[in-house]
Amino acid sequence: MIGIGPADARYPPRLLDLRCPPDPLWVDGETAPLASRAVSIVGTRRMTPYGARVARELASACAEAEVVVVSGLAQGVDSAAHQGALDAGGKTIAVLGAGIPSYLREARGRRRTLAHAIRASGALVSEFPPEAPPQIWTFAQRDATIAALGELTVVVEAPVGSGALITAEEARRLRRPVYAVPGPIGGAASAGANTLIADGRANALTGVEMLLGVLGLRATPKATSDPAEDARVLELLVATPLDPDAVARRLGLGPTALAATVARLIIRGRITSTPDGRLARR
Amino acid sequence: MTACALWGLETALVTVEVDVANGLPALVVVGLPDAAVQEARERVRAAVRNSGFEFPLRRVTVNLAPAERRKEGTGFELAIALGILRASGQLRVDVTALCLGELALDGALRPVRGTMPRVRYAATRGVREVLAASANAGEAAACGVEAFGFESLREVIDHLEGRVRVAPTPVPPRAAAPPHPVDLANIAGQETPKRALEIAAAGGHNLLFVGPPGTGKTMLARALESILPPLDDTEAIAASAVHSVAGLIDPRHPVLTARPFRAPHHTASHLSLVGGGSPPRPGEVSLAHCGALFLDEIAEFSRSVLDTLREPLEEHAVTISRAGGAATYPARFVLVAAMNPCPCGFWGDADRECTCLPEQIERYRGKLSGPLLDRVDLRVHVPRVPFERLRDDGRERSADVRERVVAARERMRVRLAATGRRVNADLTVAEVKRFCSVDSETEHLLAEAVSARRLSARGYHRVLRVARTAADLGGSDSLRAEDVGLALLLRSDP
Repeated sequence: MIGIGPADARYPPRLLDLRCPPDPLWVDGETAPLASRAVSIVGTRRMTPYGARVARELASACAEAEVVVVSGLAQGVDSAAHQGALDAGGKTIAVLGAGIPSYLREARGRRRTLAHAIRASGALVSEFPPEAPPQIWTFAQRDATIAALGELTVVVEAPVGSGALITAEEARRLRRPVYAVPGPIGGAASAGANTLIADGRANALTGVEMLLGVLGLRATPKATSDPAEDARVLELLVATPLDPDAVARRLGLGPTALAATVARLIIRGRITSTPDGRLARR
Repeated sequence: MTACALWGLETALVTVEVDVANGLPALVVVGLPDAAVQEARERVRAAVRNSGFEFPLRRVTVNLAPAERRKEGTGFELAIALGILRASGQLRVDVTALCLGELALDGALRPVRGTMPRVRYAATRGVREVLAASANAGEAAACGVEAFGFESLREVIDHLEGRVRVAPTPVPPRAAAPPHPVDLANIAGQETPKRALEIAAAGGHNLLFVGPPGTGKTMLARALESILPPLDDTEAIAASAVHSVAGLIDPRHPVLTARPFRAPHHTASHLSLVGGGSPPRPGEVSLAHCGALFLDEIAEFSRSVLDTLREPLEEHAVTISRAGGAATYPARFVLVAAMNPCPCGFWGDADRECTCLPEQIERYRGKLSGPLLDRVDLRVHVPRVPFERLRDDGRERSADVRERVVAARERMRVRLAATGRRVNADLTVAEVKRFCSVDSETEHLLAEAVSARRLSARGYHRVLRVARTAADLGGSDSLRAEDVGLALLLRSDP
């Protein structure tokens, strides 16, 4: 772990736009990704399966285009974004709301594994001294740093009062583009993100292609050769995972035809079953 | 005098020898008796006296042979009393029958636990006649011996000396199969969960239902009872024997007619679940032998309790080791478990907001991790049924499904006759290769999924086992693409 000051050549240039850039910035991992092209992807801890899929897909697309994914290593959307980037073999930066050693000491379970994976392929960064414990105000400050590290910010699912909205607000103050993923009306998990769009404080993000377009990159077109039946199943599963009976009912398929179609899609890795036994897009 | 000792389901004939000698009046029992057998001295003394006999005022030594075997329980008291009466000359005939029963102080004969396994064992060792309490006589008669039931010690003596002969107890009639609490026709929609239930019943596959609260997981699980194949005679006796040891036999209908369905509450301790105590008693897994064990809200069970399920799930038996020796109870059952997708139950629900954090959900699901989940072949989501579907018609009745299950079991029996397995869930890897061949196209697809790490090797074999059962239910000898598809749809490892 090293601490770098604003005068250091390795200091992320985008942070200098902040009113008072962190000094020093503690970095555990690689320093090169701090200066490369980066997108901040943030969102709620209480994500829905839809939010999980979108965060993962956006992060994977960025990673494949060699854009670094910046997020806050919280549960939920943050973790899904980091994981998506790592799964696609990309770099990702986690901005912590506590000192790095103190975070690593306290982290348990999946986030501990994730933190170590990020150190190996990207970096953990923090503006707080090594032994600083997490506080309510450190998270708010960390949210602002996330906005400054990315050239644009994407909000995936944020309820009213979410920390992700602080990131969006800071990105606006820095005059960086803000995008929000629209969610269903009435869904608490998306209420804050929808409000951002309604108030004109964020653009609605319509998909991976749009994000790459904004970054001036071209999406690598994926060969889509799904038979008609498969495509209809995939389309049904866009918003939320469904149980097999519901899929069969909506497509008017018998159990035999459903089993055959689903088997093909599962084997080809297009869909998977969720831990509660429903079908979901991969 | 012959009695029978019981340790778990393991039995041994015990010869009760009595010697009445000169000396200070005393009653000594030797031959590794436990506390209950020691207390028998007081009961026997009072029972003999209160039945109108004289308790010899001399030194009475009772030996329970073989002497190195530990004896527990109250089943020896009738034999000891008869032995004393014979040795003191008050009973004038020899007794060759197996004597089982506990004595009350007034000389009444009381029933004992575990009559059925004891008599069954004695019958194999050439015992043809059994003297027991009336409440136990039916159980004994069901084991194919001549059983006589008595209310008191006096009646036994009168019978033996030919004054008042008691007629042998008739073999009790098998009770009519009880009406099932839930019929599949009572459940609206849920085609895939019903299909999973049918596969579990036919192939002996363990099953996990996941779904939000109030969608009918418990009701579906209860319906399993109504589609399990009927008990055959050996299974009926084996299951009844465990119930007999636990003292759960209905004296009028000692032989079970319906497969047991056990549903312990999630606060159950591991002793109550797998058995234990000293002397060891059978737990819920053994009481579910030949039937089904239903664990509702399985994630609410304590983790250490769930871990104890590994042995019965793998070995189909439970061995309880105690200082006095190890007892083995059979435990071959279909496990049906139900759980919510997350602690609040609404994860991924379209209508309700889930209030759980991802790490809470992970911890909740982690309760079922690893070895236990490895033994669960089927996992199926139980969705909320839309209102308009609640009134659908043309639902299949349990009786029809059961016919298919019975036919599928018959196909399995014929196919697996040489292997010693009973159901597809028990197939070994080699047997999966032998009996579950798929066409080259499906094989190719599965191989692709395995090499892309979308299917583990274990998962691959499990898919084929389940597909084998699905094909058996469809009356097909070869695995069809739809069978493999269904198995993939219902598999438990994502």
